Amino acid sequence: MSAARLRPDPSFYPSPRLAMEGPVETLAYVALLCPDGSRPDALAVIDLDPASARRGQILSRLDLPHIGDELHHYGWNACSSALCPMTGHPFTERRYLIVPGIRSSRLYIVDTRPDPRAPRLVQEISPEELLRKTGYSRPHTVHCGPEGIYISTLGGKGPHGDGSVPGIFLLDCETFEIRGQWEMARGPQTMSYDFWWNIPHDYMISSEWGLPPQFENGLVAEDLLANRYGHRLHFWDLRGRRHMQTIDIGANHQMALEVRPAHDPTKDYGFLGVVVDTTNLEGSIWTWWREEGTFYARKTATIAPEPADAAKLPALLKPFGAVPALVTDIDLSLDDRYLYVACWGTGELRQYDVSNPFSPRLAGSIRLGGVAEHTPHPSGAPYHGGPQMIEISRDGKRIYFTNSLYSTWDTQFYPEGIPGQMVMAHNGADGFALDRDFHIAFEDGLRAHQIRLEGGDCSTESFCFPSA
Amino acid sequence: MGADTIWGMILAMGLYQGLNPTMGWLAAVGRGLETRSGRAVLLSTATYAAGHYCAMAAVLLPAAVFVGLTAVRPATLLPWLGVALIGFGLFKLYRPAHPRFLTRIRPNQRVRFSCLMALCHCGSPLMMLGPLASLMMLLDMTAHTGHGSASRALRFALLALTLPAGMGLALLSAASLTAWIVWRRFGLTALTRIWVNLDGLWALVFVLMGAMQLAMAAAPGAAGGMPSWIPALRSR
Repeated sequence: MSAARLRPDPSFYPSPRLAMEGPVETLAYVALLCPDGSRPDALAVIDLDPASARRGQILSRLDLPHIGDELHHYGWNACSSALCPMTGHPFTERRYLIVPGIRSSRLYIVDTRPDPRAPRLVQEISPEELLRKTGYSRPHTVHCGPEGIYISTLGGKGPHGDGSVPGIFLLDCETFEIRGQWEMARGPQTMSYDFWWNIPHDYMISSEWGLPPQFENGLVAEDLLANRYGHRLHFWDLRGRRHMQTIDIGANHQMALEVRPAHDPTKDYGFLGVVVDTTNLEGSIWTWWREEGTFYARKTATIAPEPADAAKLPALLKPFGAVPALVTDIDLSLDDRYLYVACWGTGELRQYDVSNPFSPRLAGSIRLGGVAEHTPHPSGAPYHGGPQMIEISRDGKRIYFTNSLYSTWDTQFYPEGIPGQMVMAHNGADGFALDRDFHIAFEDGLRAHQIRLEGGDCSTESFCFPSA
Repeated sequence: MGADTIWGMILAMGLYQGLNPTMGWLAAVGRGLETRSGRAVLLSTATYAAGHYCAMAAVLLPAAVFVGLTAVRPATLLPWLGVALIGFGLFKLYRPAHPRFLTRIRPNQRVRFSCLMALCHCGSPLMMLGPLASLMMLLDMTAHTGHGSASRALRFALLALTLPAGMGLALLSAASLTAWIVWRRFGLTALTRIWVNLDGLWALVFVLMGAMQLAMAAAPGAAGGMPSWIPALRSR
């Protein structure tokens, strides 16, 4: 679609450290979803330029042509991984956003050129085409890697998406043709969610949420109490596309969601966020690592539930008289120093110092929103929902986040609704704190999910060269 | 064209290939940074050069032995080679991307990667068939052994193994030196600055080389004194 560049895209960095030293982000894209189907989902562009008078304001909004896509996660057609020695497409531009609808199974290709402030929809891939060419539905995480664009899915065939096993498929990073299933041998993997990798060390790691009937119409309490959501990590041979190892972290650790490998490719470890432990309602952080070719994982931090008056709790939580932390997103700064943990239930964003990955140390915390607490923003504005999708600036100094988890689950935990909001926190010499002036309220009826920073961010970039 | 010119061209092509990040120095810098070892840098470029040599020998050796054992004059090959070079160049202009299967080679399979890269993407073995044919013609002119003899085949085979060694040594020197300088002095910041897209230029070199082979074959008196470039006439 795009012509090859004469030099690599200036937003590609060989190492995490060079990415941190690059220019500060000036724009963010935010996925907006309309939960009641009264209008199409949209992609908003936010001004982040510190020199701009409009910083923290919405510059434009791209409305999609269909209703009910449910935008969730999305990513770039190409990123820093294009500089990897054997990747073979070093001159591809970082230009297109690959935006899946998790409910509709439709894929949108959005062009951020010529004006990154006014992105344009240039291509659509229908749910039927996706299903026909891959056998998958409910596309989720998007990463750019050696074979092009990798997209994980949560569903397979059938009206409810549970007729066959979900997995990962490949999309060409220049023509956006679907190339088919990525897996050649999937072993015991039956559920899917997030994935990431270490490109030079040639492995992938994937996690498990649940099958579509377990989330599309809301959290299924019986399934949760019976420990039927995902609780396993899968390790894959990246170039061989084969399953190598499974780690079951214990059935009580329900919903093993985001996987965040260390950005420095010489480090053979990473983190995993687990939503809830059904024996004690704790949220947890796990550290996984590789030693002599074998992978291991260990629980390295827990977040306790907070007791609350049952009268203040939604029906789902009343019997427990407590609010679980609900670890729904984690994000690691490019220097592999800070792990940010969203506690969407209790309304807290935690900052862990993970200099020693096996012993995360709580370094800072922000309270905002929450099922019982409803902590307002320092600007005085109410904050709906809790801290959810996190994005960290490349230099690690600014942390942006939104508040919606997933349309039907939002309503179960926050029956009053979650109008879309985006805020910013600073991590600097004065510690970790919210920016009083940065508070974006999106239009009525739209919720906010994943944030992408122009020129890459801490959950899109993969590097093949170490920082040292 | 004299032997010196031909060898000069072979070495120049080797140097040029060595400066290409994908043919070794980029991966070598990565190895150096990861292992903090200069030995790893040089070992890495050496494995790439070895892969390149394998690809070259795999094409040149059978071609040389075939010509040596049969009554075919090397000049016979020129027009066909010209057409093949132009075709390959045009194809690379039309589709500059690497063949997809190359992205499935593991990062530690460097010999395999550079061998298949040279064979399927860079096309160096194809390009070097021209200089090989020219050198074989020169050999035919100086040594008067019978066509189709074992000794002729042996001499051509040796040539087919020496030519890639020359090119490979030039490639190895350029790649090792670049890797060392980037690793030791400039660091990774240099990488995005000095990495230039030469895909189009490389494809044009093929077209140009192809045209040269055709011209050499067509020129009366050239290509071993053949009056016509029609191969059927000349091999009689």
